[in-house]
Amino acid sequence: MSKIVVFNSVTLDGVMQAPGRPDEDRRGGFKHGGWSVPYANEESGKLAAEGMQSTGAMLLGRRTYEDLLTHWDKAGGPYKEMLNGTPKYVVSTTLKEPLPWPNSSLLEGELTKAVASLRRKDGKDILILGSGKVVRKLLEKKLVDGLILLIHPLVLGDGQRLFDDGVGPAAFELAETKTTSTGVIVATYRRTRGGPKA
Amino acid sequence: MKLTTTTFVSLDGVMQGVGAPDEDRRGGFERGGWGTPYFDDVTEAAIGQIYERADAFLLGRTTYEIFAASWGTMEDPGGNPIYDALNHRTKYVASTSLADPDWANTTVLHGDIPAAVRELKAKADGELQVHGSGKLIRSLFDADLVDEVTLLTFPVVVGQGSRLFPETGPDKALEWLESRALPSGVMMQNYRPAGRPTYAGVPTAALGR
Repeated sequence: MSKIVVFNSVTLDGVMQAPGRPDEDRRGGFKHGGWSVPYANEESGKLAAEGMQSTGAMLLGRRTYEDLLTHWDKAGGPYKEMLNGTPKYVVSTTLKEPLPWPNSSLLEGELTKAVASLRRKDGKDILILGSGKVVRKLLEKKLVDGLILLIHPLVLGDGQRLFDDGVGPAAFELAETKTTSTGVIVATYRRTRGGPKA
Repeated sequence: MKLTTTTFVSLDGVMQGVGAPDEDRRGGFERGGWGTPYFDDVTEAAIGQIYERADAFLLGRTTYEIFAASWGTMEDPGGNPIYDALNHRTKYVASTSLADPDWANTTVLHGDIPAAVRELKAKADGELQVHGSGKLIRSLFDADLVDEVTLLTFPVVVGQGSRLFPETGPDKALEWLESRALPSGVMMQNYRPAGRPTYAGVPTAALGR
């Protein structure tokens, strides 16, 4: 089975919107883009890279796909190479193939069916970065096998959250935690079989 | 006194009804008791250690009544630090409506709660602990009265219910002090409030908020 793993930076109040840049995602009038930047350091970069080591492919919503492409393609460096080299499945009803980024293909068919089918194949993990809409849909349908959360020590009181009402209930086990020198907790959760025990 | 808050939250930030199905059904909440599978010996001991440190408690009315109906009513199980702390130390309840509380060692705080809490903090040493009491905690944050925040994050997504931090509210920076992963999968996190965040280096004043 290929596990579906969600990888995201979140605040203490669960916000995932625009961690990287002020103009990354201004939907809803969000003014706090770039909130993770003051906490980013070599350590968190390294932990992020470690977390991605067992990644065989990525699954991305259109917005995240385009944002990653624009940003990391321009920025260059080791992330660009890693992202270029990794097969990417893109969830979009508007984009047409061929897609602008090497190793990208549109995910065919209805999202949950397509992901369920990807998941059944044997292989390395399928990593989802950003892609809130996709993640919430998969959480609802219990298709998320793991979470790697970079929990930042701040509360925003605004912005799109990773978890909305209506997902879950779902039980996980805490596989690992590490904290960076800036107080970011990198927490790895794995889905337990059979849902919550309560 | 040092004012510390201790809150049990789910992975999605829900704090409602952690202990039992009927604990808190406000808003039609149906998933109460989501925390109970995780209260193993180590987790209970860690929680007990927190309660042992308290010199007094500060609670909102709803939490007070939930505790009064359980910890305040049950027979002394003997050697339970939570039972001992809650029953023998002073409980301050912030409430405009609570009168004649039944539970021993209860003092009701009326009127200007932040002012009353400021006075409590100033006149004694030790630790004033807040448990549950979401509404009260948020007002204490707003009044800059919280010295330390402890979260126990349970490895479960609940999907409904009231959260410690609502969708809209003030932004706050926190300084991470310590965290501990317990075998049950519960993660304890300690923070100290540290003013307003900066966003990608832009001073918050410039954002006009």
